[in-house]
Amino acid sequence: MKIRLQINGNTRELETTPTRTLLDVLRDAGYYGVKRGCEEGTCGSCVVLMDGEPHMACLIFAPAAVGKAITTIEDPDGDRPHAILRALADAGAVQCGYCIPGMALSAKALLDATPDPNEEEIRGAMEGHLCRCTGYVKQVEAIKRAAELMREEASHE
Amino acid sequence: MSNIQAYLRPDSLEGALALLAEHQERARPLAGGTSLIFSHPPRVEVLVDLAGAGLDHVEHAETGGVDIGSMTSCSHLATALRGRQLDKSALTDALATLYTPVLRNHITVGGNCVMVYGWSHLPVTMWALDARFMVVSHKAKPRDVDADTFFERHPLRWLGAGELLTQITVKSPAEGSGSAFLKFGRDKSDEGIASVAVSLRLQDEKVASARLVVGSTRPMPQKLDDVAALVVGKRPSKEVFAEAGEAAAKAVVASDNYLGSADYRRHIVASLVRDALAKATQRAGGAA
Ligand SMILES: Cc1cc2nc3c(=O)[nH]c(=O)nc-3n(C[C@H](O)[C@H](O)[C@H](O)COP(=O)(O)OP(=O)(O)OC[C@H]3O[C@@H](n4cnc5c(N)ncnc54)[C@H](O)[C@@H]3O)c2cc1C
Ligand code: FES
Ligand code: FES
Repeated sequence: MKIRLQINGNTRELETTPTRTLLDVLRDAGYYGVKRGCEEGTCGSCVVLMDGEPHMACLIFAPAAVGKAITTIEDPDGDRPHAILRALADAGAVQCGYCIPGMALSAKALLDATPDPNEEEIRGAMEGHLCRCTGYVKQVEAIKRAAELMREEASHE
Repeated sequence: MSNIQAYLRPDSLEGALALLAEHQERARPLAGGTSLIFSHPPRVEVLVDLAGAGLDHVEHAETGGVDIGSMTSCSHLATALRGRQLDKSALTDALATLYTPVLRNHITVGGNCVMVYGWSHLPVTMWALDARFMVVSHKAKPRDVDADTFFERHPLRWLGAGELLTQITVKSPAEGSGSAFLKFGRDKSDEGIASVAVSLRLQDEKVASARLVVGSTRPMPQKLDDVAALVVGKRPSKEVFAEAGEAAAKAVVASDNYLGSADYRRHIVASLVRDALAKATQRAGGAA
């Protein structure tokens, strides 16, 4: 069956079966930033935003994503690296990087809804994102810094 | 190869019911999909996605109760209860500890109640809160099912082909009542080794009524009426609640699994029952 998905602001017509996961369909369409990890909803590496809310692409039948605005790490907000990605890089919060797309998208959902989150809120939003390399500390710091950057950017607009 | 050959998304409840009636055992309703994505039931060929059926809503009664559309996600329900009378209840305790925040965006309240697993939070909670369940099917009279009937057997065993759970109603907490849900696992989000939900009402500084449900010790939750009866008519106290905990540990059916032995689970149940009774009492305005 063919489905039309809204991905990063573009409409894409993609081939699927009724039961293929959104993870498979997105990766086949070239969105390799959607990472394949556990494939059972426990690691968070496949997280995408659907209508701004984090969802695990491995837990979604691809046809169920029709009508939703899907955001992948390929384009969280336009052409220049997003404040969250810059803050993660600057803080040295990335080692192998496999967990980062999902984590950055959950951070984006958090910061869009809560521009000045406290540490508990940041750690809450990171729950369910497993990182095998770091101890999460720098990632929490980076999201705090990203919040500042995003507030500064918003005040200059 | 999956046996599922068609994915249908009707744009109304009537449309969903008509499709389920047409395909009978060959069709399954799709809610959050977090269970169906892994196990495609044998002989099922058609998925009927309920996303367009208008079942994603939360309506607050003036008295504090709540009608929950079965397609409401756990995270949307938690947001809707913030600052309401049911905030700081067994329901919000259960929602806050139900795996991870991102998974709570997927799981629907209806799907969690229908697809009961040993680790499921809402069956334990909804049963303790004496919730009501609206079950509808094509061209038949809706059935208003009480929690005792809904969870007596696994809902998938008694729900007919073509029947849908559309709404769950949690009634207004009565004056002087409180509830709590506690789970003990290896960490906050992990599957429970045991869980307990309690609701009770205080009158004249005594427990006037109580409901107590234990989860996670076997595949289906267990409502322990005889244990709840032990606290009724008594003044809340540490001793009374500890006694109820010990009685629950004896009464509960528990099995061994990789998380713990049956004996260990019973031990945990004793503590959880004691603590959940104390927490519910505190929320009801009493002290233990
Ligand atoms: C990694 C992981 C960890 C989890 N941990 C927990 C946990 O700790 N605690 C917990 O409570 N849950 C947990 N869950 C969720 C739980 O296991 C189920 O997957 C979930 O509750 C199913 O809900 P759903 O909305 O996704 O239903 P679906 O998968 O869409 O449906 C499940 C079944 O219910 C039927 N159904 C759904 N809605 C209706 C309806 N309205 N009327 C009639 N039939 C219906 C479907 O036909 C299907 O047979 C976890 C899930 C995952 C993937
Ligand atoms: S791949 Fe989806 S949560 Fe791990
Ligand atoms: S940086 Fe390697 S998994 Fe997180």
